[in-house]
Order: sequence, then C-alpha cells, then structure tokens
Amino acid sequence: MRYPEVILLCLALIFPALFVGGCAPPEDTDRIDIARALSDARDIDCYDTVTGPKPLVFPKDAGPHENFRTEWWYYTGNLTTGQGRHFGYQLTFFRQALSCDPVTGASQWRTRQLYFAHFALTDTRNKAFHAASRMNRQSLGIAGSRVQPFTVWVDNWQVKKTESHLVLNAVSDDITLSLTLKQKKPRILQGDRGFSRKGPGTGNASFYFSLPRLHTQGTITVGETRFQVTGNSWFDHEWSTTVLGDDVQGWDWFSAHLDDGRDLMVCRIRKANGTANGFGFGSISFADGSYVILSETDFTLTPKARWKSPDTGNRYPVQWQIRIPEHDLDLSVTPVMDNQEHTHTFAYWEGAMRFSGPGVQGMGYLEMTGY
Amino acid sequence: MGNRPLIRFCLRHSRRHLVRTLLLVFGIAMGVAGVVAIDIAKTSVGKSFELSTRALVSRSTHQIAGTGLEIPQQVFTDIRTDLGIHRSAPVISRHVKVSELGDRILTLLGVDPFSETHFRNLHLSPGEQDLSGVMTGSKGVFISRSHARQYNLDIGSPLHIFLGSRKTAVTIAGFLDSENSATGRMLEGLVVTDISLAQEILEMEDHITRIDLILDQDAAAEKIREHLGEGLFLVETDQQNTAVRGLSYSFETSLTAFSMLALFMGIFLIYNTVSFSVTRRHRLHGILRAIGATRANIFFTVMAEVMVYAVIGSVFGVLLGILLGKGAVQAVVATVSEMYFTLTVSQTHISGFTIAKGLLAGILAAFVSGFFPALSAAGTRPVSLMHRTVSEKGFNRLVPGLFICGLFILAAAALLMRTATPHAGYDFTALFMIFFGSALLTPLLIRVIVRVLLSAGMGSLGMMVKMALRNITRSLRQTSVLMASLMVVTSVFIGIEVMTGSFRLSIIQWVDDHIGGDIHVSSTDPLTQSLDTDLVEKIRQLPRVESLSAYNIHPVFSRASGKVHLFSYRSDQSVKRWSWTAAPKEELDALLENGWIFVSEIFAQRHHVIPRQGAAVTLETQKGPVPFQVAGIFQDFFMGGGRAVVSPETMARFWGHDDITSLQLFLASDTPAEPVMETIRQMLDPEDMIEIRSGNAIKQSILAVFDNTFIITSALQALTAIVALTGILNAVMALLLERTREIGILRACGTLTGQVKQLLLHECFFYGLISGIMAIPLGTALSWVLIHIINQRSFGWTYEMVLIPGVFFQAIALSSAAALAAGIFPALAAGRTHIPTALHME
Amino acid sequence: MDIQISNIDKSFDDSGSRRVIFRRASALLPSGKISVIMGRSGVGKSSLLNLISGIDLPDKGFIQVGDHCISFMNDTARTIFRRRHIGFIYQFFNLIPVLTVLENVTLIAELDKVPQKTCRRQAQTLLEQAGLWDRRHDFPETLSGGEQQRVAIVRALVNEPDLVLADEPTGNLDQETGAKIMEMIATLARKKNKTLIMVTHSPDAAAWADQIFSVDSGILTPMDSDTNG
Repeated sequence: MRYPEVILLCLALIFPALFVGGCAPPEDTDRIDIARALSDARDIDCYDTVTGPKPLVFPKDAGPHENFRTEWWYYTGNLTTGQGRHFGYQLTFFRQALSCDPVTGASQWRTRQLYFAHFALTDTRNKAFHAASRMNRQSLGIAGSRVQPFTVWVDNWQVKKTESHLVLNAVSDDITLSLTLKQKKPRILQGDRGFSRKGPGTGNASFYFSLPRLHTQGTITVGETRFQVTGNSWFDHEWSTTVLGDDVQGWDWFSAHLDDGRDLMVCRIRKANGTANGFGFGSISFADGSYVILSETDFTLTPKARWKSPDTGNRYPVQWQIRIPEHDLDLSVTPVMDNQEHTHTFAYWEGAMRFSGPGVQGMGYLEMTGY
Repeated sequence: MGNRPLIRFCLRHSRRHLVRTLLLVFGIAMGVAGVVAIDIAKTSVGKSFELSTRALVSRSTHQIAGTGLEIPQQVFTDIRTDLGIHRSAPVISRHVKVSELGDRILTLLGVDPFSETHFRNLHLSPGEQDLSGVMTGSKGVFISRSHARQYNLDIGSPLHIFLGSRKTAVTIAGFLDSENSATGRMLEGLVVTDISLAQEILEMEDHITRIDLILDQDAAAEKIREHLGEGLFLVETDQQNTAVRGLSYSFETSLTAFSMLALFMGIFLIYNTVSFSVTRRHRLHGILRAIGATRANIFFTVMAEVMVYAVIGSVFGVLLGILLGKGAVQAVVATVSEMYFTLTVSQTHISGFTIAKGLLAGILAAFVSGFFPALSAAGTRPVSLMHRTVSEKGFNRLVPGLFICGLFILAAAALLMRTATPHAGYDFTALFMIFFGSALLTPLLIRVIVRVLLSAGMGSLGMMVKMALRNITRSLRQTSVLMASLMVVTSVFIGIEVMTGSFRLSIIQWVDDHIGGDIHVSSTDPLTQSLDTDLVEKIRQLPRVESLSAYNIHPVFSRASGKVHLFSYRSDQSVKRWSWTAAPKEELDALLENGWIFVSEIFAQRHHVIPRQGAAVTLETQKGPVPFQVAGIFQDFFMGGGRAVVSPETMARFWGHDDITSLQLFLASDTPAEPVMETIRQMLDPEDMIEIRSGNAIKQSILAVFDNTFIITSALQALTAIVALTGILNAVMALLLERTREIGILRACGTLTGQVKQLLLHECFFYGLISGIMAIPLGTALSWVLIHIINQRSFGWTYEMVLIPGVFFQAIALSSAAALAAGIFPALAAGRTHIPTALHME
Repeated sequence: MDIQISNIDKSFDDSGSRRVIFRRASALLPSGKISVIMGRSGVGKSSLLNLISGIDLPDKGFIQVGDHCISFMNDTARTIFRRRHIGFIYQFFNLIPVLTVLENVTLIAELDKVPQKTCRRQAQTLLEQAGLWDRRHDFPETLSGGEQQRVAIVRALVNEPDLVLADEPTGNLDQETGAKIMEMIATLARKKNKTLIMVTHSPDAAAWADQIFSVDSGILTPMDSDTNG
C-alpha cells in the first residue's frame, strides 16, 4: 500500500501553489497536512470504487484504470556495485484523476488525468540522499501510461516493458538511472485476490498487486561517475478511489528481499492517536514463488529509535523490530542512513533499510507517512 | 572683502525686484522641467516594456519559435520526453482586448502550471478561486486583483475577449496578486489561462506560440537545434527582447533631442536674465570695485546668486517636470504601443537618476550661462572710470571676429553631423554648436540688417523709427544677446513646424500612393485573415470597379526586430518611392518573380541591409533560414519591424501563404464610394468578419496615428513659445529701463508720452522683426537637421523638407509679438517717467 | 513773456524724509530779461526750472508763463507748450546719442511735424552761427564738450521759443569754453528778445544777468544786482 488517495487529494489543492513562483519547493506553502486535506471533500460520485474483489486481468490491469481516482506504480530497489558500494533507489509514478466527467473543449491539452512522479537515490557511502519530483498532465504524450507495450512515464522518467524485461530510465539534475528489471517470481495479488482492504467503510479499499522480486542491473551516474550496479527491486501497482477512512494519520510500510529467497511486505495503518487501525496487511513470497497473505494479527511492528528531521522537524522512528512468529521472523530493521526524507510538497520518509534477524539478512525499503 | 555681505546685498536686491528674480527661477525651472518630463517618459517606456513583455519571459534563456509565429505543440513533447529538457514551458500568448476591463489591450497568456515553476511568478490570490475544471474543460481565466477591484468583478463574472472582431466569452476563475508591487503591476497586463483554454480561444488547433527554455549549457542548445525541423528555430531570449525593445529606442532618442532643445532654451533664458541683471547693477558693481571689492569678489557674488536661484529653480523644475512627465508618459506610451510594440502595462517610473539628471542639468546650465556675465561683471571698472561707450566700442571691435568664430563653429558642427558613425551624443553636441555659432553671427548680421533697413527708407517713417533702429546698433552688446536668444527660440519654432509640416505632407503623399484605393476590403478576424476567393471574384466583377489591387499581408518572425510584415501583391497598384533601387520598374517586376524581395527603409535599417549590388538578407522560412536578394529599398512609414514585398510564388513557397487578405478597389472616376460599399456589404453574411472602408476613412485613421506622434513636439513648441516670451521679457525690460535718461530728455524736449511709448515699442518691434528674419535661415537649417539627421537616424524614414512661406511669416509674427509684448510694461513705465529724476537733475 | 510765480509749495519725499523746496514762494521774472537763479547746491534751483517749464507741478500755488497758466494744464498740453515755447539747455548737454547733430537739432521740430525744409533752414542758420554746420552728420560722442553744448543751445533755440531755460549751462565746461558759451546764449537771447532764466553758480555767468534771484529757505528772493554792483 502506498499513498492514501487523500494525500493525492491534497495535490489537487497544491495546484494553485504551483503558481507560486520560484523553483520547487515553493517558498511559503505549508507542508500539506493530511487532516487538513480531509476537510476538503471532493465530489466522487462518478468514480468507480473498490467495494469487492474483482478478477484482475493481465496484461490489461498492468495499465491505467482511469475511472478510479488514484493510482500508482511504485519501484524501489537496493543496488550494489562490483566493489560493494550500495545505492538505494525509488521511482514512483502516480496518477490522479481531476474529474470523473469527460473532458470538454477542443484542445488536446485538455485532460482529466494528472501524472506525477517521485525519484530518489540514496548514496550510502557519501551519506547523500537525492530526491526530485515531476508533475504533468496526461496530454500530448508528455506523461501517461499505456498497456501495450506497458509504459508509464512522466517527461523522460519512464518504465517500459520490452519482450523480456522492463527498462527503467530517470534523469534528474546530475543523477541518471538506467536499469533493466527482470521478473523473477510470479505476481502477488494482495489482500483477497487483489482486493486489499484498508479501513472499515465501504470503498476503503484498493486493488493491489506486487511483483516482489525483480532482478535489477544497469548503471547509475552520479555527476561524472558512472557505476555498474546489480540488485533487487520491488514493484507495487495499486488503484482506488476512497481508500482511506476517517481518522487515519499515516502508515508504516516495509518491503524486504531476504537472502533465503523470501520477499516480505508488511504495513500498518496508524490512527491519529498513534495506534493501528486494525486493517494492517502484508505478504510473504517464498523462494519457489508461492506466497501467503498476512493480516494485522500475523505480525507486530515495534518502533524503536527516532530521528528528528532538520528540515521539517518531524520525528520518524527509523529503527524497528518486525516479528512474524508464524514464519520465524524476528527482524531488526535499520536504515542505511537516517535522512531519507522527501521534503517536497508533502513530507514523508522513504529509504533503503537493512533487515537482520537470527539466521536471515536482507535489504529492503521502509516508507513512513503522517509524522 | 568678505563675500557674504555682498551676497546678502545682492539677494536683497533681487528680492526687491521680485519679478525679474522670478523670471530667472522660472527660466531654469522650465528648462529642467523639459528634461525631467522627457526623461520620465523614456524611463517609463522602458519600465512599461519590462512589465508588459520582458517580465513574462523573465527567467528563460532561450525560446523555440516558428516563422509563422507559432509552432507545433508536438515539439514540446519531444523536448520533454526525448531530449529530457525539464526546464521548459509551453506558452501561448497573444494580445487581446477585454471589454469589461475598459477595452484594455492585455496579453492572453496560456500556460501549463506544471512547467511554470521555473519561469514566471504568476501568483494566485489564495482563498477565493474556482479551479474546478480549469484543465478539464472550464472557461475560467485569471486576471489581476487590482483590475477586478477597479471594475467590480468577482469570481464567476463573465468576461469577453476580443481578437479583432472575434468574440469569446469566458469567466473569472481567480485573481492574480502579489505582495511585490512591481510584480503586481506586471500581472495587470495579463489574462492568464490554462494553455488548453488559450489554444481554444485562439483556435490554434495543435499549435502553440512558443516554448520557453532555461538552458545552462551550449551543448543543450546545440542538441535542440539539431532536433528542430525547418521553420523552427532557437533564439536567445535576451537577444529577442533587446531586438524588440530596440525598435523604439530611436524614437526615445529623438524625444531626448527635443528635451535638449528645451534645456537650450533654458540656458539662453538664464544667460539673458543674468547678463541683464549684471548690466543693471553695472553702477553698483562699479561702486563696489571703487570701494575695494576685488574682481574675484564680484565674480563670486554674481555666480553665487545665480546658483542660489539655480538650485531653487531646479527644484521647482523637477517638481514641474514630474507633473508634466506624468502627462507625457500617457502620450508616449500610446504612441509606442501604436507604432512599435503593444504595451499592456503603463508604468510611470520616476527614478532618482532622472531627478538627479534634472537638478544637475539645471545647475550646470545656470553655471554655464552665468559664467560669462559674471566674468564681465568682474571686469567692471571702478565707478569713477565708468563710461559705457568705452565697453561698447570694445565690443564693436570684436564683432567681425565673433562672426568668423561663428562660421568656424558652424562648419565644425556640420562636419560632426556628417561623421561616419552616427551617434546621438554627436548630434546633440552639433545641435548646440549650431545654436552657439549662429548666436555669434548675430551682432554683425544685426548691424547689416539695421543698415539695410535704414537705407531702405525706414528712417523716413519718422524720428521714432529712426531712433529705434539706431538704438539697436548703439547698444549692440546687449541687444545682440537679446536678439540672438529670440532668434534661437524662433528658429526652434520654425524647425519643429517645418519638420512636422513636411512630415505630414509626406505621409499624405505616401498614403495616397500606397493606400490609394477608393474602397478597402479586409478581414477583421485575426484568426482567419484570408478573404474568400469567390467574394474577391464577385467584387472584381462589380460594374463600377475599374481595377483591383489584391494582396496579402502576413507577419512573420524576425530575429532582428521580432516581427516583420511580408506583403505579396497579385496586382500592385501602389506607387513606391525609392531611396535605393537597383533596377527600373520592369526589371523590378522580373526580379520579384525571380525570388528577389524589396524591403522598406526601416526593414533595411533593422536588418543591416546595405544598398549595393548583391545586398541580401536571411529570413526564417518554413524551409529554414533562406537568403534573399534585395532588389531595392522603398520609402515607407509603416511601423514596427519593417516591411518586405515578395512575389506571391515566393510567399507561397517559403511561408505557405497563398491567399488574399486585402483588396483595394479603384472605382471609375466620379463614382461615389458609398453605394458600392453597400453593394459589397450585401454580398456578405451577417457573421462575416469583414471590414469595408472607404479610402478616405483609412487615410484619416492613419494620419491620426501619426498626428499623435507629434503631440510631444507640439508641446515642445508651446514650451519654446513660453520660454521665448519670458526670456526676452526680462531682457527687454532691463534694456529699455536703461533708456530712462534718454526718455527724460525727450520728454523735457517736448515729446509726448504717447510718442515716447511709441519709441520703445518700435524698438521692441524691431527686435522681434530682426530676430525673426535671422531665425529663418537658422530655422530652415535646423529643420533640415531634424529631418535628415535626427529623424532619419531615429526612425529610419526619409522624407522631403517642404518649406511653406506661411511658417516664416508665422515665425516672424511670433518673435515680433513676443518682443512687443515684452515691451508693453517698459513702455507704460516710460510713459510715467518722472522727468527730473530721469534727468538726474537733483 | 513774463513768468509769474504765485505762492508755490513744493516738497520731495526723499526715501522717507520730506524735503521742503519751496513754501509760499512768489516772484516775477520779467519778460525779455536775463534772470539768474542762485543758491546753495541742492536747494531747489533746478526744480524751479522744472516747475516753470511744466516738467513738474507745484504742490500748491501756480505758475503763469506769459498768458498760459502752466500749472493748470494737463500733461499733453504742457508738453506741447514746452515743445513750442520753451528751449532747455542742460548742464550735461543731454543730446540723444543715436541722433546726429542735425537730427538732434531738428528733433523737436520733427516731433511737431514741421515740414522738413523749414526745419533744416532754421537749423542751418543757427548751426552756421555756432560754427558746427560741417559737423552736422556727426554723432554727439565725436564732439568735444563745448561743441556738444553749442549743439544743445542750437537745439534749444531752433524752434524760436519765447522762453529759454538753462540749468548750469557752463557747469561741465572749462572756464574759457564756458565763457564763450555764455556769450553765445546771452547774445542770442538778447538779440531775439527772449526771456532767459538761468540757474548757475558761476559768477562769470551771473555777470550777464539783468536780475538775480536767490533761493533760500523755500522762497525766492530778488537780489538787486545794481545794489550789489
């Protein structure tokens, strides 16, 4: 599970903020607050909602679902060079629908879909975290997604499916990412055959599937230096209209590639008072490709040390303990570096993590929002 | 002897003669006001340009533009996705009229908000706005909050956007606002929309106006250039802005020339006043010298007094100039908008620099003009040695020498103007030298003219006339100064009058030649300018239509001047006047067909076309940049970046235009135009946006535009008239009040009061007459300079100088009237002379 | 013509203070005689000439010149009277610098619109007598002091005035020249039987007087030249 569509709702409010000059981030817009965003209800009657399981069809469902309000394609991975130098990357594409009514007007610039993307690179050795974002309307091929061949892109940040693999490219300032991703394991349909519940209300759910392990290789260019890297990536694709209910403050989401071949994902959704809302979820995919779906009661997440952001003042728990007793997992989760916070229009923490437990190690990603 | 008591005394003396002192202050004030007002107008144009135009492309370093002033929008996709240039923004921009905002011309700016973060500061007022549907289909636009307040408009209020006579209805979705007042003013020139709505309003289909880019490496620019197809090109924003801005520089320079004239007038005025004040105090200075004041004391005292009033006058002048400047801004901005580039924001900009310039000009002028009188005052001999005739004798000896000096200076001025590198500074210096040199000629000229008048029998008109004339030569040192000033001022009057008169005649001639048709038909829809060919045929076949000139006009992009207008004629009935042509008419037609082009004088100037065999210019076409041979340069008053005439084949081949946008109909002689116009109107549908105008109507509207351009110069003429009057008022009063003794004698001898008044008025009349006579050659020379040097260098036009004798009579009448008016008060005073006092009897 | 001065008052306001020149002064200056007015400097001698000629008016009382009550005439009338009947000779000559000798002399006649020929004839006669006919086209500044005064005298007499007023006529000349001038004035006056009133403090000039008056304390007192003789 990624970003609650409520936050994407905020982005529609940010629209005017874009007019505020200067380079991103805009000087004096406040960081978006989920609670504030909640107060602005949008007219959602004509959108499709996720009310119950529906069979997911491929390759069609790899593409966009334009009658749902919110959607994202989410790539993260941990990569190392031949010399053992570690990088973490994240490339996320979001789609937000502006209206469920059809577009009127002759101009091809008219659209009702907004695409934006976040790109981040963690350079562990230099303790450097680079983050950038792009936003565009789905017009004239500047941004968008399509099914055949599967492509999702904003400007020249693009993931495209060829015969055998996915090609990922992103360029920002002096960081270039050029990777190929090969699917190593079958798809995980999260929740109930892809119907992933997040809250008590009708429609507080999304359609959600993951590609847990994508063998990744390619080049990362930082400034003048080019690195050949290999590693593993995780991919999430989720779409919904009103995925979050009331009283949601944020969530903490983990994914990990373990060295015993298992791939883990767990997430809990936090209420305003800091406690879980009971609709946490997760999955474990085994070495042979089979997987199990986890529910809230199957795991415990315990936050440990906190880190205070010098930019936003938020205090994120960057160290955790994950216990999944049924699967013998007691993992201590630590970040490769503390400051992997995105400070664009809304603040969240997303970074490469080390997972370590008795007899098992791994690398993965942690995402924390609402702090 | 300390200076302070002297200064105090002089100030007190001045306070007693308040009127004279006020005139001195007034003179300085007027000169400074002229300089300040014009400077304000100029800097305001610059500032308005910044706010109207430059600010819109503030941070972009480059732009992608097309020959037809639009580009396919696909280019933007390529820039973003293929070339990966992130700091790029698509822009649609056009000037439109908004009726609810007082029929203002504003820039319709269609932008993509996601691209804008790097480029423009288009702040939205937080809070009230209706952003729903801005991208998905609404017709919401954003205007500045101050305009909304001014016209009582709110979110949701309808607006009507006019492009030509094409009307589109939109609504207000939000307000543009800024805390920064400069940004706020800039926003007033805009109607901002999402790029989709702008594209729909302007019916641009799949085109946009341009793409703005921020490139920090030449490599990126190269990459783009390689990628762009024909008809598209990359320009540097700064260069483009400078090119467009430069269109009006020359106009502004000519304004400065005129303001310099105002300052010259001020200088003469001050010189007059100070010099006569010194003369009045002659006896006083003599006494001071006798009792122990050194030359330096006297010099310093005179200068100090002048400077005190110079400062006061300059301050007043600055204040007055600010007032006048505000009015001047309106006129100048309107003119520039009409002639060069549309200014959507008009900003009166009063910079500290302008004020400093004005103060400095006033003080310097006062110093320069007070210097020589102060010197002469310092040279006063102690009172016991005073004999006025002695100094007159000395001066008389100098007169021939002054004349020769003057001739040399005039020659030098002529050389300066003819230099190979024209420069505004040289021109002004030369102008000043012309005035100064002419002034030096005046004593000898006056002597000669008086002699001629006397021998021609003027003396037989009576003793008073004879005496009046003789008085002039007798006090030549003073009267020549007065008459030189009056001559200069009158010559300015003549110069400007001849310049504007000649110009007007040339315009009328040009309009007759180029726009000679009886009826004009053209489209008022800027989005579909072509006339339907069937309509054209039908019109051609109308019974009273003798001949038809069909042509098209299309604006295309130019690197040198932003925009040029291309014309191609199906049949050219216009008569062109050439400033250079390589061939006679038949050959010219053949050359046109061979792909050669003709260009206007302004075009030639802007694009550096040098008249000689093989002159060529490269224009951006749909097939990329193409060199064209220039067959000739024609005289033209069309504004903006210039005009070029090409053959219809060339127009179609290189710019893809194969249409007719305008018709000129020539009716059989004596056919009234109105019925034919009515017939044509019947041929049209009611929604057709086609305009039918009579040739006269068009001529009048064109003349009106040009008349506006000379509002400033007319104002300057009025200024010179005022300065003329006040300038010599003081001098005449001083001069005539010195005749007190003589008047006493005459009265004692039995001259009636009336006769004495006559004497003074005769003298004044001759001042005016002689000055006017001398002003004629100077004024003619000045108008030549204004037309052939200053105007030509400023606007790039050439036109004939036409001398109308009426102007000369007007000028002589002006100078005589001014002199007579100046003499009224002294004449009245003379009538009231107390004879004994006058005769120093007691 | 007789000059009758009756009870005149005259005072000047001299920057704040009042200076009384005449108070209830009366005198009779006989016709055809040379009367000399004497007195201290600044006492009002020149003012008297101004009053007699009508250039100035008394504050009280009146002056009669011949049959004309000059004090009651308006400015124009006085001016014309002055033009036709009075000749004035000044200490500082007071010639018009821009006019030639001849023009200076004929100025008044021309003002009076007397035909050119007549003017010239009169002028010629007198100028020849004064020995300045050859210099008739010269400007005053080229003449010596004595020559200028001679021109002034011619100017005063050319119109055949009945009354000649002279204010320190030799004051600006050296003794020898002055004597000659005085002789000229007196001779011409006597010859034509004109009334000559002269202000002077030169005893040589006063010697020509038929009658002497002194101005003192605001009144005019005749002094008996014979008794002083």
